[in-house]
Amino acid sequence: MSGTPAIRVAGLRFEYGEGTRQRVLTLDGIELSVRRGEFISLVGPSGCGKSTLLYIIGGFVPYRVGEVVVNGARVTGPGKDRGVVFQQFALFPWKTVLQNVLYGLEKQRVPRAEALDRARGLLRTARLDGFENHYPSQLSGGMRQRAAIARTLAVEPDILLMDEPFGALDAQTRSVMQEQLREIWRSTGKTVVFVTHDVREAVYLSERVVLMTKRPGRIKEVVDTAFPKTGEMTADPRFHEAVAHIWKSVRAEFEPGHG
Amino acid sequence: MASALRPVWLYTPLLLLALLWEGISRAGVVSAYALPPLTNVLAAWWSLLVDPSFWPHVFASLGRGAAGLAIALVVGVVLGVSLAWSRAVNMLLGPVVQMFYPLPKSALIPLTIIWFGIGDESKIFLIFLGCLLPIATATYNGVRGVDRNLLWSAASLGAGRWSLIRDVAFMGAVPDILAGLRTALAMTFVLLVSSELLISNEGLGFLIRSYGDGSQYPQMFACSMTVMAMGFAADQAFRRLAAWLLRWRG
Repeated sequence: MSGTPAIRVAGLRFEYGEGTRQRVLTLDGIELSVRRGEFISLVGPSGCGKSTLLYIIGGFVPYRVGEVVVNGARVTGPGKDRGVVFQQFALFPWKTVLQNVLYGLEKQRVPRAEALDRARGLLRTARLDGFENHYPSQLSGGMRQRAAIARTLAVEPDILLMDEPFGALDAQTRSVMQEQLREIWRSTGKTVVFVTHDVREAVYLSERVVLMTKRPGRIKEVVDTAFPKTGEMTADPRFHEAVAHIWKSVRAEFEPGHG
Repeated sequence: MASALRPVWLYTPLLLLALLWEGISRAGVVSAYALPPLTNVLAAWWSLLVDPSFWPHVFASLGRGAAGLAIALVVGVVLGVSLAWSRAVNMLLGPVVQMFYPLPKSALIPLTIIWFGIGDESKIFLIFLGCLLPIATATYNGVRGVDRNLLWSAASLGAGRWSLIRDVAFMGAVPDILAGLRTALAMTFVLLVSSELLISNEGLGFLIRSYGDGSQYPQMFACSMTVMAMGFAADQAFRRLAAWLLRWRG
């Protein structure tokens, strides 16, 4: 099993509004393989289809041309093997923090006592103990995102699909959350696909950064960033070289007449 | 403005209106026949309230209103969710709903009497019809407006089709459903009285017409005020219920 990639995308082509006059070619010729336990980021200009690619892997957006295979099975819909985290948290606003974390466990028919145990444990790890009975509207952005991540982790997916999860947070909260995500990734060995427009974030968090062209999104280049990292403020020249290189490449996508 | 005085300020316009009413009538600006002085109306109201034969009419009206509204709530929510969720249902029923929406439901009173007779059923049916579409359209809009990411989150946590509908689409539509329900609540009282006014043998609408026919205008006004008070109380109670149900909103 460890030989097969966690995610394999081959010859994927995707048009929005298929069959209508306003159809837009969003993704073209996508080839991507993600190792089990790997952390990759997708970066590229707005509208390049990086989120669409993530949603196709998630099984939320149906595709027709190409192949998307997760854990050896062709993706035909969402599944609990792939957990999602959204920029706007997507917590159920009418449920308390605890009820949100319990939701997936209820759907998996985990016995009540065990589910409560697990949910409380996750909330402790997310430093949300004492906020179990708060509604999402009563929490800060950082706390909401920690609750959302705890809800996703509760059903123990082996793949995390994250769509600009820290994009709505202030700089300090964001850097703390990045630390925590690295810690989660290191300790659980989950496969992570992380969409961001923040190049430093991408380089800091991931082992490979996948750069996409502007629409129609194609994979422009894949940058290896698997060197050891101490933090975003590191003096490591490899870090700065990688950031500079990816920045230049992404910026080139904005230049008129290019691509 | 001291906050303790707020309720007083709030009801000042009502007090002024009451004084104006009393003054106009007492001064003979209009005939006391057409507009009996407010104090006479209040006296008539009091004698109705202490008269045991008055209350069965109140309960008859309340029962019809509650039954019609309750059926409309259940059917309206199911209809609204189905219209929003299923393209087939939308194609089949969407045009029917759009056609019937602007129809004044009171125009159907004669028809409901032919179908259901002059008893409870025709009133309940009319109220049901009048409340159905406001609730169904509000539900429809609410479900359509549910955040896509909430549905996706639930699906990735293992929610099946029914769970998605019940736990996310319906729950996400609750604020809109409550807004539709409030409109329907007001509609209930309108249709209740109009259906009872036309043909009935009990209820507040029936009393209003009987007192009117008998030229007992203070009593007639008193019955209208009873309907108004019931409507006001129902709306206040509803607002509290809605605030509690929506306590999760920051």
